[in-house]
Amino acid sequence: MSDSASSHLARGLGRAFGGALLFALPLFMTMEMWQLGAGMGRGRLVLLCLLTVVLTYVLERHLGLRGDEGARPLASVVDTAIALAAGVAAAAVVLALLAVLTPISTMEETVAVVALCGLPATIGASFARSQLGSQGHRRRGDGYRRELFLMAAGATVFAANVAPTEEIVLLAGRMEPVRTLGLVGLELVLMHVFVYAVDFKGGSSGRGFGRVFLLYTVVGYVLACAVSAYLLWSFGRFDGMGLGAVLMKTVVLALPASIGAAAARLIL
Amino acid sequence: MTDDDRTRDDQSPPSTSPGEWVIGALGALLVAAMVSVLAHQAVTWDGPARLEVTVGEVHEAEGGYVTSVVVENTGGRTAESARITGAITHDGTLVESAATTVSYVPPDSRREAVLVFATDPVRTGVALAVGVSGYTSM
Repeated sequence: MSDSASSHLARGLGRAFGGALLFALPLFMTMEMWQLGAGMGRGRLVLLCLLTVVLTYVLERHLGLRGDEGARPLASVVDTAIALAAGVAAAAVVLALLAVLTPISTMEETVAVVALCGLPATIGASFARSQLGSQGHRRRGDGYRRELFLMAAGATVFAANVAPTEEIVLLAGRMEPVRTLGLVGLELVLMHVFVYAVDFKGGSSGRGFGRVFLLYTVVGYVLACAVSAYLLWSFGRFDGMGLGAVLMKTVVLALPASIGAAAARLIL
Repeated sequence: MTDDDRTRDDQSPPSTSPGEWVIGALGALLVAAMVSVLAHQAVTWDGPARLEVTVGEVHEAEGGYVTSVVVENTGGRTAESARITGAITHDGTLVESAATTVSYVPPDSRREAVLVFATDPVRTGVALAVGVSGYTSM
């Protein structure tokens, strides 16, 4: 019996490690992640770590393998810890092999870079364990609040891949406000297409356009912008910026974030 | 059938709780606010980047006199790779100069940079002049 239990644990860890790599490898190989890890505000890094742990926990609660076992918070805490361990281990191993971390790096820098890179890896690990699980994922409740959480999580996951890059700053710098307004329009249209697709899949017809647009597209878009703004603020991209520059960077990052938000309802 | 089921079970007529409407209204308000700020900027942001550099605090450190400078963009476009220069003169003769680069300065925004001098730039008798020697207009 203990053999099967340990092989179950090994399979779970392997799955988590694989998910961490699959999801976070592009970010491990992104220069800004090393620079931001070493240089970003420590208070902001700690806050980002805490929020990621909370997000992972809630993901485990809602989508995790144990989703159907009823309210067993402790099991989700354990799952979160496993995802965290796999994510941090994946980051440490890959960053050391890629010589991002060298013997010259100070302990403080090493910890910070591994912590930052470990965050997307943790989400990837948690995601892989729930999605690749043999029993598949289950749905737990389908309230509006859950839909909003799914949209926020989807926005985070999709935006995280480009949020740290300098390209966001560069693109926002090149765009004029008029172009930004056009991008807002495109993002709302794209989101609504996804939202409509979800409703179509569900077979709904009697729900008014206005209601669906307002409750899912508009609110989802605000969530996507909020997630984008939070990530950009964390990475210091708002320091010293006027309101216009803040909004333009947010709207640029909201392009992937809004698609992630809308698609999450379709996929998860 | 509970409220929760109803959002998924699409045969039932839509029912929206007052709380959901409040969230929806709040969302619409935020998007409208964002769009109006952007629209306002589309009208008011005009012309190329205009950079102004001012001297901030000076303090003595191991490497010399650490002089913080603030570069502000009051123009309508982003300035990329702005080269900030500072020169210390004594009776019209150049004593020392320093320079640094700021990667991006968007409109209505300011960035802080640091110039390091061996000479005290605020000592009596010397004059410190700061400025921008060039940037890429985006």
